[in-house]
Amino acid sequence: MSNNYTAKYGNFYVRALLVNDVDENYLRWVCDEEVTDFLEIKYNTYTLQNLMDYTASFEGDTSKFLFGVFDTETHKHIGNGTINSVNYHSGIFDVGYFIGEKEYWGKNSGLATLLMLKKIAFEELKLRKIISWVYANNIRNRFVLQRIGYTHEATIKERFLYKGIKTDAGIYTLTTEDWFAKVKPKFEI
Amino acid sequence: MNNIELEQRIKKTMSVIFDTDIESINEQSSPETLEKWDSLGHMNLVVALEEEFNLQLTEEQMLQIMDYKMIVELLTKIV
Repeated sequence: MSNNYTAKYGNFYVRALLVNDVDENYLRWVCDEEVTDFLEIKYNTYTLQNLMDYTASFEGDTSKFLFGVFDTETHKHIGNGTINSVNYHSGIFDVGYFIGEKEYWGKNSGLATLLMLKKIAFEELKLRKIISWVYANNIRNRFVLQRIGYTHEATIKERFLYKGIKTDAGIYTLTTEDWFAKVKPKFEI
Repeated sequence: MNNIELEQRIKKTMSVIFDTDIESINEQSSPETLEKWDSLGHMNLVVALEEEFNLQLTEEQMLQIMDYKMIVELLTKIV
């Protein structure tokens, strides 16, 4: 099954990221410590080839989906998002994202990306609940999750290492019921 | 510091960070009403409030102040 899912919100849209979308900009983002500050990918080493291999690994896999985030007006590729750890039996999934082009930071690009990924997950894939692990000291991401209506269900002590320091993880969740009743009407997506 | 002074300083700080008139900051002000109040704007606001009131907010307090009324409520208690 190919990933034909798309969504639009505000000045942004997402579509499947393809191998031929992989370029020097994508490589620059994943090598930028400021971009990957709170992402586990910061521990890996990247080349154009392994980014292409990574992108190709999503093709035909229904348990994970890779999307590019694009500027609606210019079609500039500005970041990536994933719907991952999909369990169709339980309806559970997670999402991940980063905005690589820093000129788009401070323009609700992260909020828009999360909303679009969840629209696809809840409305197209018919999944039931997102469970996200967040670095406790990632206040920016936690702010976005709270705005979107996530519930902070638990804290796991010392789940991550952040710059060598043991760091707690917040577990944030959002259900399909809350998506349709609260989030979707509030953000008109 | 009385409440009027406190609120004026909060409004002034928010107006600078969110690049808007001080008169437009009111009890309804939130990320939904201020375009620049996104995740980056929020962190800028936290830093600006800490400098303005010479304090350090905890992570939980940073996430508690999700609109103008909550900022006033929190700072009334701790300033």
